[in-house]
Order: sequence, then C-alpha cells, then structure tokens
Amino acid sequence: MAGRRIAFHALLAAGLVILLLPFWWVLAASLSSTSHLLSFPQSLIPQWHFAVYAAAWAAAPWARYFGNTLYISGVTVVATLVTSTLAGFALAYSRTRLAPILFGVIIATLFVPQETTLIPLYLLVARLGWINTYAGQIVPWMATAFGVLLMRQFLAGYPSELADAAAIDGATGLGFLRWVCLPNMKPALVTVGLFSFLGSWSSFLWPLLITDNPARRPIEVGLQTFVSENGINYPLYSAAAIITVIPVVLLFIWLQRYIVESVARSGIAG
Amino acid sequence: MGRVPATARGARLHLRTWRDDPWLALGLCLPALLILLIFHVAPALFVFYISFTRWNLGTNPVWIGLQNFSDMLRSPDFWHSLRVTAEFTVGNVVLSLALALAVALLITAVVRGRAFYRSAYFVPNVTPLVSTSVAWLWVFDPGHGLINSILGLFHITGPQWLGSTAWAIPAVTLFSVWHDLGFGVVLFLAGLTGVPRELQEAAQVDGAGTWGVFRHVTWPLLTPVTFLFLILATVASLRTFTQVYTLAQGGPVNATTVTTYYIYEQAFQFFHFGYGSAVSVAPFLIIAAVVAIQFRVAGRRVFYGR
Repeated sequence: MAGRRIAFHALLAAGLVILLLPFWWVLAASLSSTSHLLSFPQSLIPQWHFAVYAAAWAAAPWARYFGNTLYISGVTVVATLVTSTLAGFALAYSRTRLAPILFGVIIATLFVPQETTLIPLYLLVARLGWINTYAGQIVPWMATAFGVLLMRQFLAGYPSELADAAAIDGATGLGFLRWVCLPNMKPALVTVGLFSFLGSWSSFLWPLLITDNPARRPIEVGLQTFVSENGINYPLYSAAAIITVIPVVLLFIWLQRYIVESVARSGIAG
Repeated sequence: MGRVPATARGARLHLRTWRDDPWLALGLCLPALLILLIFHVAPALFVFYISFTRWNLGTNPVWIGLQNFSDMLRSPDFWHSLRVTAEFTVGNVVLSLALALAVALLITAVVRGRAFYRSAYFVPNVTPLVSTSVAWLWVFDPGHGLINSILGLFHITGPQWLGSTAWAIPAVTLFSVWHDLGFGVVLFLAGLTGVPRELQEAAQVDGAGTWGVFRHVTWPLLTPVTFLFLILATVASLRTFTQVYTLAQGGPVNATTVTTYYIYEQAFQFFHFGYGSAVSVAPFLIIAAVVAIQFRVAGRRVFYGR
C-alpha cells in the first residue's frame, strides 16, 4: 500500500512538472541574454538578465493598462455584487406570484451565448456612444444571471420562518437583508465576486471590439496589441506576458482556497 | 418538531409582510433585470432581425428575407468552420475528460498533499488566456520552442505546430487542455468525495480488483459529475475564441477558423453585420442541440439513485 502511494505521488509530481514546465521555461528563457542561441535543457537555467523586461515595460503603457483593468473589474465586481444580492434576496424570500416569473426571465438569459448577441450588443453600445469608454466595458456586465442564481440558491438554504419571525418583530425587507442575511453571506459574496473579477480581468473579445484607444484599453487587449505590433520577438512577448500574469498568480496564491472551493461548489470555471 | 397550533397557523396565513409585496420584489430585481434585458435579452432578439437584413458598415439595414441563411448554407467557409469547431471540441473534451479524471483519481488515492495538488493543478486555469497563450507562441516555435526541443532530445523532428494546417488545431487543443485541466480536476475531486468508501471496500472484499472497483462502483457513481463536466466542457469548447485569436488568428489558411472566429471575421473585419448575425444564430442552435442530446443520453445512462 505504501509503495503504491509513493508511485501515485511520483505520477502526480511528474504531471505537475509537465504542467508547470512551460511557465518555468518561458520565464527562464526570457531571463537569458541570448535566449535564441540557447538549446534545451540549458535554457531551463535562468541567467537573470532583466534587459528584455525593461525593454518590454518601456515599450507599452502597461501602468495605464493595469489601471484600466483594475478600474473596470473593480466597478464591475461591486456592481455585480449589489445587483445579484438584491435580486437573489428578493427571489429567495418573495411569496408573490411575480417572483417565479422574474426568476424565469433571469434564468433564461443563462442560455444565451455571448457570441450570439455580440453584433447587436456592439451596435447598441456604438449607438450609445460608448466605444472607447469605460462605460461600454462595464455597464453590460454589471449583472449576471449566474450571480443572481447563486445568491438566490444560497439564501434559499435558510429557513424562511426566520424572515417571518423578523417581520413580526418589525423588521423591513431591507433591514432583514442588512442585519440578518448580509453578515452570513460571505461565501456567496466571495464566490460571485471572484468569478466576476476573474471574468472581467481576462475578458478579451468584447474589449477588443470596442476599444482602439490605449487610454481605455484593458491589460489583455493591450498585451495582444503589443504582440501584433512588435514582429516576432518571443523573449519580448514573453516578458510582457509574464508582467501581465504576475498579479493574477499572486491573487490566486492569496485566495486559492476560496477560488478552488468556489469552482467545486458552483461548477463554473474562472 | 411539535405541531403548530391551529391559531398560529391561521395567523400566519393572514400575516402580510414585505414578503408579500410584489413592488418590493420588482424593485429589488430591477437593477439586475434592466441590465440583463437591455444588454442581453434585447440583443438576443434583435439578432434575429439583423440576420434577415443586409447591413454593412455605414449603410442602413435592408430587409432581404432568408438570403443570409441561404448564403451561409452554401458557403464552404461556414461548413469548414463547423468542422474545425467539431474537431477542436471533440479533441478538447475527450482529452480533458481522460486527464482530469486520471489526475483526480490519483489525488483521491494519496493521503497527504491533496489540497496542495488540487491548487497546484489549478494554477494554469486562473491565468488569463491572452497572457499564457502569448507565452505559448514560444513554446510552440518549430525551431527553438520547448516542445520541439524536448522532441529533439529523442531525435524526433517535431511538426511545424501553429505554422502547419494539419497541426494548428492539435496545438490549440493542447494549449486549451493545459489551460483548463485544473477545472476538471476540481470538479471530479468534488464528485469523488461523494463516492462512499464502504462501497469500494465492500467490492474489494468481494474480490474486485482496482479496475473492477473503478468500473463497477466509482464510475457509475461519478456519472452525474461526468455529465456536468461534459456539458460545461462542450459548451466552453464550442465558444472558444481567445486562444484561436492569439495563437493563430484563425490560420494558417483558415485551419483554426472556428465558428466564433468566423463570426468575428465576418462582422468585425468585413463588417457584414447581417450575414454575421445569421451565422451567430448557429452557435445558439448548436449549443442548445448539444445540451438537449446530452440530457437525452444522460437520461438513460446517468446513475442518480442510491
């Protein structure tokens, strides 16, 4: 039995090496002065030449891109949390005949793929004058059916007698939400917030369509533009890619428990 | 729990609180509802209208009936994009399923380090697709890339990968499997914790080997999770765009032009909004059909009972 466990650990470790090798190799190769001359496996040993990183950092307004992405994803997350909490709360506790109808309408939007609505959404946002704006990148994503659904399921897990008892004691709906539900909703808030943040940070097609001005471009579109503007220069690309990926990996290391458990709970990828 | 006295039950029926107020329910749902209706439901309906028009950049829409759809069905490029999408989807789903299940089974079998392995295998999944796919351009380089360098150690001449029409889709698939593996692992790990150990041990006592236990106990009990994985992975594969754009721009010679990329090209490079809309109804129908078929098959195969 012990021997088998060691074999399993060896297999898992080998799989992990294969999975993480591309990260390491790209990092090491981009840190060597003459990466194109090096052959594998020597190229796995970094030489700590940061020149290409300095060049990559200087070649595009990365700070601006980061700022744009932080602003866009920050506002999107806060707005999504507010809209999902309010709607999820109403759908979990309302006894009216309206509630199932509203729930049905919101659930129906889950089944509309983004690719299908891309063209009309683009025409709508263009008509609103939102090309090259933050609004165009934020407003359409300020609510998600997934967020509402998750909040509703989470709150529906509580006994609804709790709400009746509070109502008898004179609590209003919003009072009950504020003082009873919210303090207990951390897991749901974290899940919806994280998915909204990761989705916003890595969204690509939509901002690609509606931004061509670096002043409003998010980091991922900025990186793609950088690549298409610089000819074939792998070390430079990779340095830029690593610059853009570092904050996300740090965030993951910090919040890995929450992220992984959120995925396991909800079955939705980041 | 004791019986509720009749008077209390009656009183509760007549107690009207904020929970019975339809205006409050509507008001609380309104912010989410407005965003979803204006930016998602309305466009989903409007796309059907656009698909019946000729609408190019700077012109007004002209009603042309089913012209776009008949153009689409006669366009070899459209059918080619469906075939590329199917090839990518089948490869991606099958490989991801096999690898994720294998890794999850191994992680469940070891005692120490489960949380570590789960997180470590998940790392590629959180990296934004553009960032990692840009780095993988180098990994795939035919001359000095990581993959062909490793193959070179064994005196194998690797393919041209993203430069070859035959190997571009396998390359995009390989990248996607790598990026999404952790998601399947986490899903199957959650499913495996629901498989009771006593059942597996009972089967072992009855003389089942490792394969027998997996085949007759673990696998049947995992079918709900496998089914969920199949739906999520298939829909995600059908929708793939980002890595196709960053790794190959649909090329070489349309080799990686999946249907989403074809829509992008038609609508936002050639500005054929009408034709593009007709094509973008296709993913909607295909995704709906795939989910319906999977539900039908699952109705017969998925083991939910105890």
